[in-house]
Amino acid sequence: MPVIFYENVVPYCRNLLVAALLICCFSCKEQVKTTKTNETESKSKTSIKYAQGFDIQNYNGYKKLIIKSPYPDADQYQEFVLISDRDKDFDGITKLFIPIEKVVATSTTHIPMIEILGEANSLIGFPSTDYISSHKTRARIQKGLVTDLGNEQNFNTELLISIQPDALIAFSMGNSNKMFQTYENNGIPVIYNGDWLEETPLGRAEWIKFFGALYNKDKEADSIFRAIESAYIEAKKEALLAKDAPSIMSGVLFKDQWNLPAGESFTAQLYKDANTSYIWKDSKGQGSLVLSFESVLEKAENAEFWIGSGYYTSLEELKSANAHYEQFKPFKHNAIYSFSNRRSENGGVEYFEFGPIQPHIVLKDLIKVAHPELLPGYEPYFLQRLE
Amino acid sequence: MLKNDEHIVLKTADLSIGYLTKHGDRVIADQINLSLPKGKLTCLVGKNGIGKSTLLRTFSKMQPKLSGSIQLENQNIDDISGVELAKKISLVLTERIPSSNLTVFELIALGRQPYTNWIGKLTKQDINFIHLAIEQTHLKDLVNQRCDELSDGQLQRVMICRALAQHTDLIILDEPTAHLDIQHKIETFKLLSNIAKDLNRSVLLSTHEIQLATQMADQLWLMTKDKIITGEPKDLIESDKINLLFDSKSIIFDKESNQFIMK
Amino acid sequence: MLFFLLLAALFILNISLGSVDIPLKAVFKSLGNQTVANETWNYIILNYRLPKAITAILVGCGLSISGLLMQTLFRNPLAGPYVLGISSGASLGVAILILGSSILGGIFSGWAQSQFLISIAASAGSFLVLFAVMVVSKQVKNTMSILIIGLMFSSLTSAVISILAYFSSAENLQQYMFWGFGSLGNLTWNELLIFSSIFILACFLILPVIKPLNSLLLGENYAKSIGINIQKTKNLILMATSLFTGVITAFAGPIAFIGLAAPHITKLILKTSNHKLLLPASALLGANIMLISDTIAQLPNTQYTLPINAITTMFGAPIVIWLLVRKKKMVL
Repeated sequence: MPVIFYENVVPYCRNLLVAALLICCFSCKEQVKTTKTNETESKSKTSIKYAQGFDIQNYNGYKKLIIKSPYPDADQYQEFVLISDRDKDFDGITKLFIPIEKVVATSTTHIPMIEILGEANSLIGFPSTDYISSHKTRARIQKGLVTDLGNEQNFNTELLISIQPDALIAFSMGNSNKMFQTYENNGIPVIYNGDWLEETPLGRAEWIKFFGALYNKDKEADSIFRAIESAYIEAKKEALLAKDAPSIMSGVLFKDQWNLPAGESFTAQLYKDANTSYIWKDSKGQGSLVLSFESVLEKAENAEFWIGSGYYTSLEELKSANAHYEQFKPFKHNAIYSFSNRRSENGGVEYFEFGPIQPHIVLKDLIKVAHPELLPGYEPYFLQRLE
Repeated sequence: MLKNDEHIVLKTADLSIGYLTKHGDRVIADQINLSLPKGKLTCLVGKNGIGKSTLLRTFSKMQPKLSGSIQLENQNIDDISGVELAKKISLVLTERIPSSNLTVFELIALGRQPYTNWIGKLTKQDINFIHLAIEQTHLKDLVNQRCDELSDGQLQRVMICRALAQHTDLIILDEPTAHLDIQHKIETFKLLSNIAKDLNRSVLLSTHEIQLATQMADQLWLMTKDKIITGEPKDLIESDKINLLFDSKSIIFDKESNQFIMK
Repeated sequence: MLFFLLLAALFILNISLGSVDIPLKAVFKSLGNQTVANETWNYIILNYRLPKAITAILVGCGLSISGLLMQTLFRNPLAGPYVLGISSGASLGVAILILGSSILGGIFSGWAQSQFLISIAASAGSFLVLFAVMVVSKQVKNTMSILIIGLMFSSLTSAVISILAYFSSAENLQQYMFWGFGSLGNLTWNELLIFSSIFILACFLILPVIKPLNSLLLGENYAKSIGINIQKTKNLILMATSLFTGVITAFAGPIAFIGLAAPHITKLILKTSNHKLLLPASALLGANIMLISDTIAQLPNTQYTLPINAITTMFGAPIVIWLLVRKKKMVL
């Protein structure tokens, strides 16, 4: 009787398969529609300063919204012609009549941007509405005005089609393209929002202009962004007044492997702007690094601050998770700070939802923690010390 | 006579054998009254499926009896523990042993397990018994070979040798010549006959080799649907009782050629 | 014996090599409880590498012994320590904890982080399956059926885990996956103490089974005829295997391949079936393989590491294939 040899290999293979699937997701390439339009009209220079993932081009009577990075490793752009004047119609192009009135969003980061433009009432659908913290939208959810579309990887297609949104603002890691293809085939415009792929805090915040274009409120979006931009630059300048740049460590252990942000990542950029010395600032990569515990201990044992400690809510929790954490100076000196401790009533992490549109607050939080003598009277909002 | 009893190794009284099922007992044979003397080769013959293996398994406590009693050297077999039983009965079965790295010596040495300590250490006496058994089965040349590399005939001899090394008064064999060619069949029967006579053991074996059985056995047990007929081969042939083996009118035992023929 | 010396050498090697470059002299100083120039080095050696090396040895020994027991009991050279489904039970326990806590949310989400709770969950899972296996083995006399039932347990638990995975959050899924990669370096001295105690307990269970194991080489019928108490032997073997596998999976996660390969490699090298030799030899070989694998997985002098399961499989499988190609037969 042949005993199945895979008994030993199955647990490992299963993991390998899941890992392979996840990797596949990231290298999945899908056809993204691109269309050409009559470029007989003149176009104005782009007004996007920091964001790398999208562009808005103004023409006479219409705008073009170009999504350059809809999802990781995409090799094609998305282009939409945004038409505000119903008379000016083109054929054979991907067009969208603006302002859009009914929208489905797919990431909590979309909500504050929609709300701040005064368009909270436009949101009619969202996957797993429990995660949303923004007050106005929560109130609408309570009233049943926002349809819960289910699992974010696998929407309830029937529900989505039945609410007939003017557009679906899509968040994709690359693997759900098939699902979105179905929606496009059903006549629902799918616009990818790649704000999370931005490498700079201001770049990420600038996506408010993306929403501004869709709601035909470019001017408002512009001024909101300018306010954020100047506040950010102000804070950055202030940080330079500090007497020194303290060393920062980040990340947490998974078993005996340490996960932390790489040197070219979004988080690392924040650390730099806050005038701190992130220990791995010279490492390559825009995502995370997985390093051995030994090397992290050697390099970061005497770091001054530990910023970004996963989801642990207290020093006790940290200690019980792994005794090794106690070896680090920030643990001994009570200098561990987390972005995920501030949660709204329904348990959503505020930093994830509001962080992108408030980079100046995030930066100021960092500056205040790293350089307590600066920003008198300021209390960090997102960044909380672990007790 | 008391003297006779001393030579009886195994005796049954009103034994009933079969299988215990949820729906009641399935009796294969009952009212079995048999005895196995020392120094004799007893052959159990009968049609396929008549219950020969069941009988042997019941004797060796491989399966429970339905009713009646079995006495092993004047002791009720139910009262004998596993290890003690192993010192009194050894088995040779038809099943193939799994493939392994065992050498001939190691396999034979396993026969000494009922006597060794918790870790199975072989004392001088154990080794003596093993060497004795090897001599008696003429296996000296094969002692260091791997069992995997032996022919069927050689392997069967090794299994018998192992049973010998177990130094029991009763050796039970279930169709020991089933896989062998005619030469080895004869050799095996000869070996078993010698073991019974020269070493004064009681040897019981079941077989389909009627020819060899009638020629070499001291005692024959004919297992039929209703009962088990015992007796010396020549007596059974003489009295034509041997024909009860096959309940077909077309097969009879021909006394001249000493074999079963079609009428 | 040779294996033992090899073990000692590999032990030292394993402790000396790691991401951080620590000179050999410092390693010895640290082990000898003398003061070392760099405090960090001392910490790394005594509190990280040393427990890791000991874990590697215990895991290697335990898995190969279990594998050998399973191969002999089921008379199947392809059996390994996980055929009873014990490790699947442990995985299920951990999956329920990590993935379930994300589904339930709220207060439960913190639970997934606790190392202690994870070990408890894994142990609970293993014991559940152990209990089921013992009950089944009482009802089902046929040894082969126990094997099939064990495999069915594995499939069942996999199915349940899939469902949990489908509904859980990405980060918890990742955490579960990481647990599944296996990790030797995560035990505190206290945990190591518990691990070793259960390990030694299991070793005691094996002592009375060595002689019966050799008889089982002939099959259960013959074994019974030479006086072995089959049921008692079976129970001891099942319990010992479950203890080994359960405790290893609880503390180090499911480590692949060693349990299947180490006994075979030992048999192919020593060319014997005598369990008096095979048991200790397989144990030592298993320990050696784990030490080598771990040393490699550490990717010495770089910042990075590899999951241990990748190494054990990548090494083990080709070796068994090579040995078989030369020898052409897999035996008990």
